[in-house]
Amino acid sequence: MLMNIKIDLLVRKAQKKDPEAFTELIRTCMQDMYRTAIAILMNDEDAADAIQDTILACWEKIDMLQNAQYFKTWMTRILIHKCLDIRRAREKVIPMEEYEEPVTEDEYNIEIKEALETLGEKYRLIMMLYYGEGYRVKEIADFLGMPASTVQTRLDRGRKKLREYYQSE
Amino acid sequence: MGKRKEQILETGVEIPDIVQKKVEAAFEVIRMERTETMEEKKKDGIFMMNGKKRAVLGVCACAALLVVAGSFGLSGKEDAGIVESNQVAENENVIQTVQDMFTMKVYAAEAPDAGENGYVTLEKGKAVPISLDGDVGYVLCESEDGNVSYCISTHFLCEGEDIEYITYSINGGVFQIVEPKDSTIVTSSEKYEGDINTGGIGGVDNEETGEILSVTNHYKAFTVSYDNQTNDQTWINICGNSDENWDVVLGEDKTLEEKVNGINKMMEDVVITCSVQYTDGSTSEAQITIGGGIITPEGTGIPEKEQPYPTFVFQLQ
Repeated sequence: MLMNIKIDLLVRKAQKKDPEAFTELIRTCMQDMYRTAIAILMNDEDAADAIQDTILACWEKIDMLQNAQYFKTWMTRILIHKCLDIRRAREKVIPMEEYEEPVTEDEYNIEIKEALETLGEKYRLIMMLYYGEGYRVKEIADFLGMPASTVQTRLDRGRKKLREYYQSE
Repeated sequence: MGKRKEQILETGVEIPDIVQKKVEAAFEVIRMERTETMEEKKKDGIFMMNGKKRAVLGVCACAALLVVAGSFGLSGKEDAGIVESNQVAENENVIQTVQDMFTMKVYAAEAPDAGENGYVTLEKGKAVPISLDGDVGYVLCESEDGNVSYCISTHFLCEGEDIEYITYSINGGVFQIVEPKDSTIVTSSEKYEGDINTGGIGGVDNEETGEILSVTNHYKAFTVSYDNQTNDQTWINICGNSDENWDVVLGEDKTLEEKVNGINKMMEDVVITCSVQYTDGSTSEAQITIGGGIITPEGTGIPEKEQPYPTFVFQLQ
């Protein structure tokens, strides 16, 4: 509860355009932001772009946030949209000569990425939001615009996929 | 039972360099944007944060009153027993403060790091609870319109070299100075003419005749000389009539954390600016905000208090 009080205070200061309060607020969410971004995009370079875009969008719009306690949920929703934008742009077919190799190799957090790879696109984000970040089924359903029953089903199937993967190792 | 496979998703992640660089770049854009905006405002003469205007209220009947002051008597410098206080996150950058030129201290005799004189140095990211030692503390009063009015008593002390004057100004609140009728520490001031609903804290009276020997004045800003910043017959209080409803902030059904949250909201617009003027004419300043915190009875020595309760904390910005 007291961590929530701290977040609440930071949000109020950020809404008055206090950059230090805002940067501290983002830092408290950084791990979860990265988890969400990597669950959708599966590479660090795209995740970095999505997170950067999200930070700037949140700064621009934070005074529109009506309830400070929902900051993280609000920010996560923006991040998911930014990630999906990047993924959509990536999926467009481009000529070979325009293709650019990723600048960096993904050497961080290999174990989590392997687990996410196993899950596949359908289950990754839902599993990460639920287990990695502690969101409830209803909140995840809200984020993704799908019925709660669908989220629950995918969680069940996601758990099964992970168990099968680790048993086969 | 073995570890759930899903727990792999719960493990801590290492933020890659490329992510950190892009994040820092975004932060830099935000800081630069803010600096440009403030520079523009400086040119227009609108510099500094502006607090909310408070309605001028009549004298209240004080339907509800919460007084926490040293008149209950208390202990010395034991552990302040702060369960947790609402700390401003650690900030590495300072917007407009030159911290290495002077330090601000506040009287907080029960804090574990209080000096022999009972003062604690204010630092960024550190919440210092107001003292309930002797004759300082705070009063909360419910005004006629059901809102919370407050009066917080403390002593500030500024320390540094070649300082001639210190000017304290306040947004979102009012200074109340209670001092002897025939002497004052105030060398110049900007008075506040409105009404404050809480009465005051402090004052000296003649023990034999009961005659009140102190005078109370309210200011938006006042200046003191470095060599005469305070004394034990002067009280410098921070007062205000907030826009927050008494029941919402301090209602009996509120949890301790909700009360602290309510105090935070009540005080969110209050900013104290301490401007020092050096002997060479140059100036420097620091800002202090006030928030909510929790204090345990052990930290106050107040026997009537059996549970932790909310208090005010000072924070250097």
